[in-house]
Amino acid sequence: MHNQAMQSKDVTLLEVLDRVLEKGVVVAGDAVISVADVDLIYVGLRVLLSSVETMERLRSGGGNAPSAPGADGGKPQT
Amino acid sequence: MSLYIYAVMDSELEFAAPLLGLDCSPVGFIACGGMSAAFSNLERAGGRLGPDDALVHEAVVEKLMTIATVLPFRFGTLFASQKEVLIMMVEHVTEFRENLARLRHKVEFSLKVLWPAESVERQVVQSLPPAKSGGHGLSNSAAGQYMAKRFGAFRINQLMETEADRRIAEIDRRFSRWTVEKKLERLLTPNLLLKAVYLVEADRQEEFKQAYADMQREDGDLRYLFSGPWPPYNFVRMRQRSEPQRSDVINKPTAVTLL
Repeated sequence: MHNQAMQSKDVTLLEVLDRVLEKGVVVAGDAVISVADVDLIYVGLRVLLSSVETMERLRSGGGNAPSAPGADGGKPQT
Repeated sequence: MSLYIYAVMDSELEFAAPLLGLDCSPVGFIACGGMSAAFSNLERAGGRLGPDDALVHEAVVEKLMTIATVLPFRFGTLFASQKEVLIMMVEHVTEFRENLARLRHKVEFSLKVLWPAESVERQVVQSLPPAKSGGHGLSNSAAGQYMAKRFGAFRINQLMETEADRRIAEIDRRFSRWTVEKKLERLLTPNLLLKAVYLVEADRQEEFKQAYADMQREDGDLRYLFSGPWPPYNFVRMRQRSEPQRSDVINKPTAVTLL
């Protein structure tokens, strides 16, 4: 149960990062936020790939609990 | 000290209950032309932002969603002063109004679909007619064999894409009835068949969720990650991207630490 909760929290974070880092209103010159001199676009890709890896890990774990947002239509519960 | 911006809202209403943002600073509102920008003061040594801050950003935007239509700002948007925020709002007032009108009473849903790429590829290969010796019309020279191999890989890739398109169309069809706008991305990685975001009328979200629940119940080799409702991050359209004209506009934190 603890593992499932942690995985679910990870998925939530990844889904949030997938949005807030790459999307939304950009004003005043579209700042490139750097992470240790690595371009944000790369970070976005990393987040995406991490999401996929997380999903793969959950799948190999045999559970679809983190997809539970679908069960009630809400977001993953943390 | 900087002003951290969360969103622009189509209302000058303020949140009734105290709303706390980054570093537990109270969220304030700067009104302009029937809209308001939600902000909080950020005074942090080094200006570093991390994953927990992203969650706070999202939590604030979601709370604002309960009282107004919001245009969520990208994580890490900082301004030097309230005056600079006002200037920004005046510069973008038309775009903000257009977006707010288009996104009013709408929410975003996310769907990621994984398929077993290796297994699908095996099936594709098995479905190909057996190659006849020399049947590809290329010579048996090294160059000919190389070209035949390349052509084979190209053909498999083509069939995989056709199969991906077929499956995506099947998935997308389930949601089209409830969708106002959508963005679909195919095969961003070999296993990520589809990354989709859908814009849905807020009062139709239950039907949209039900469409997903129906799909999820069916047997198959696909795996899903479905989430929402989110603020409409993916559907904000900003045309103007002016360069900052004033040296005192802060538009980036010194660093964002992640993962």
